Amino acid sequence: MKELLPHIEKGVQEVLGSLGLFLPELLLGGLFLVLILNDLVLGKRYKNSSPLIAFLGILLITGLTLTQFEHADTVFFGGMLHLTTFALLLKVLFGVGMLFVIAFSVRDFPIRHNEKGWGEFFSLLAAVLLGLNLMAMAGNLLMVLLSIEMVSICSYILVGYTTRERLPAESAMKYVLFGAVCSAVMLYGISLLYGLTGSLQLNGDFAARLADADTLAVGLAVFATLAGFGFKLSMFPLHFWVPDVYEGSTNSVLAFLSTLPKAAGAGILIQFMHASYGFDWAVWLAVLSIITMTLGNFQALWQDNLKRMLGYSSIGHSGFLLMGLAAFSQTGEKAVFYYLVIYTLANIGAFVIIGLLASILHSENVNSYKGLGFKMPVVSVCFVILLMSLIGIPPAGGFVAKFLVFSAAYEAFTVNGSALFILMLIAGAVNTVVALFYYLKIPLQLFLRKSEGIVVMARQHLLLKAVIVTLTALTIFLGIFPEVVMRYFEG
Amino acid sequence: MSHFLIVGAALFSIGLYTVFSRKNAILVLIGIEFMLNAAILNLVAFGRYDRIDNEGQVFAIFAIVLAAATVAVALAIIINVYKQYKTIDPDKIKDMKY
Repeated sequence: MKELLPHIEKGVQEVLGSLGLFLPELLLGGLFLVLILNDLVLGKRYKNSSPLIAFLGILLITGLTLTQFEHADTVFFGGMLHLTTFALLLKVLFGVGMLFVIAFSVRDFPIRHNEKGWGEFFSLLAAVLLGLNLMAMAGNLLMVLLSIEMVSICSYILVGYTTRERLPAESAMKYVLFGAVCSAVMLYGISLLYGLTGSLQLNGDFAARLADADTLAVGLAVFATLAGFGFKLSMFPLHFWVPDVYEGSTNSVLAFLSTLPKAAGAGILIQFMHASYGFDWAVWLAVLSIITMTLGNFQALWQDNLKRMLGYSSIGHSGFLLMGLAAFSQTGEKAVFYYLVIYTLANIGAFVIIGLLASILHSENVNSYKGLGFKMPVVSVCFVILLMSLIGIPPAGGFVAKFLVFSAAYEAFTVNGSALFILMLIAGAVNTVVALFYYLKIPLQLFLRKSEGIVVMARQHLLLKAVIVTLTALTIFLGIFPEVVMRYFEG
Repeated sequence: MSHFLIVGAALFSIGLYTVFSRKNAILVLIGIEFMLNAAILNLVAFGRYDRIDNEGQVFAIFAIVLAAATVAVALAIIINVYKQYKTIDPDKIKDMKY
């Protein structure tokens, strides 16, 4: 006991020193509790108090995260968390994305008129944001498991939040069963990694020991661990949940689900790749990237249901993300982050528009949008711009994002000269063209087809329109001035 | 040591087989539980040889708690599915087209 005392003192000192860096996450935990209490006390009388508190709280916390850039590249809590620049940028992205999601869910019909109230919904959003932040910073296999599970469990509840309907129930069940299997496989992989390296800390030591171990065993362990990340990224063998979960979920949940966990998955995969650089990441990620994007984009071609279509297209986007990750370089990381920003903004925007139109038309089918472009010009034009961004047509940000990812992959090709990278570039180009076909179905219906006498209700959706216009403006702005995001990587 | 790993691998395989073959959502959950316990057994077995104090065992405790949380949420969702569909056979619950 005597000889342990100085260790305890040192440990306490380190934890106290780390608390300052952990402040945004601590406040998020506090926000979660405040939201639950608020729902119990004030929720019945002031319905709008929950979203208001959540919005202001997350705005404050995101502002606080912005001040952390001077502490970039610190390791704290005994190596549990790595505050890299990439993680910090991701945290800001999560905060901003979550603000849009909250603004959207306030006007999302199934959430607003949920029989059990909506206070818990917003407290769950705060909890899931905490999980996402931890995921971006995870520097220890225990933290990897904890943060991924935190995000997963909150997401399961969010998908099944509207209990009165059939489709969300089905989606939630498929999601929870698939997700639980993936995390079980990941846990098995982690246990093998622990056995192979004798360490849970994701650092250079870990990589060195992994390089000494038997290649086949390492391959097995890494692939099993990849199951957890791949589930979040909706990567090729783990993408089966996507279309069903997307079709059945509420639009505001989907705006969250399709974007932020994917970004967190990419962030955690980058952390993991750095800690296991001996593994042949470039080849395997290139193969997975080609399969993922081709599968997603080609299956999207046959879909009429917009949410299902965007589900498949989001698999396609995961393929492009993997392309940037396969490059495994500083340029690749930059490209991946920029891609994530643009994809998040455009996809949240697209789901807000789908939600808005669904509340008017009561349909999520492309064919029901006939001639709507002239009745709701602002929303339709924004929709077209966001879709252009998702395809990668110049004025919007998507073009720059795709360009950066392609150039990162090409740069990686010049370094390692693997023919697989050329194949990946070709697949990327073909897939961009394929994406053109299914995305352009929507502007075609909106502007070029005659309407069949739909009655557009005179209800005003000012908040949703403001969200849509802001997101579109941001997409164009970042497309013209990518340095606004990229300059953070210089320091 | 190798005995633990063999038992773990066997448990994992049984769990995976259960997940893919069962016609009942609860039994799928039981299969998942098998897989989780295989991993936990591995962790504890490897933890015996760790230089640092009991990392593997601590990890196992966290994993057990997380497994319980996941199962609680999954059961709630399955109850909700049963209310809507009057069945919990994943193969029969398909309102959505493929």
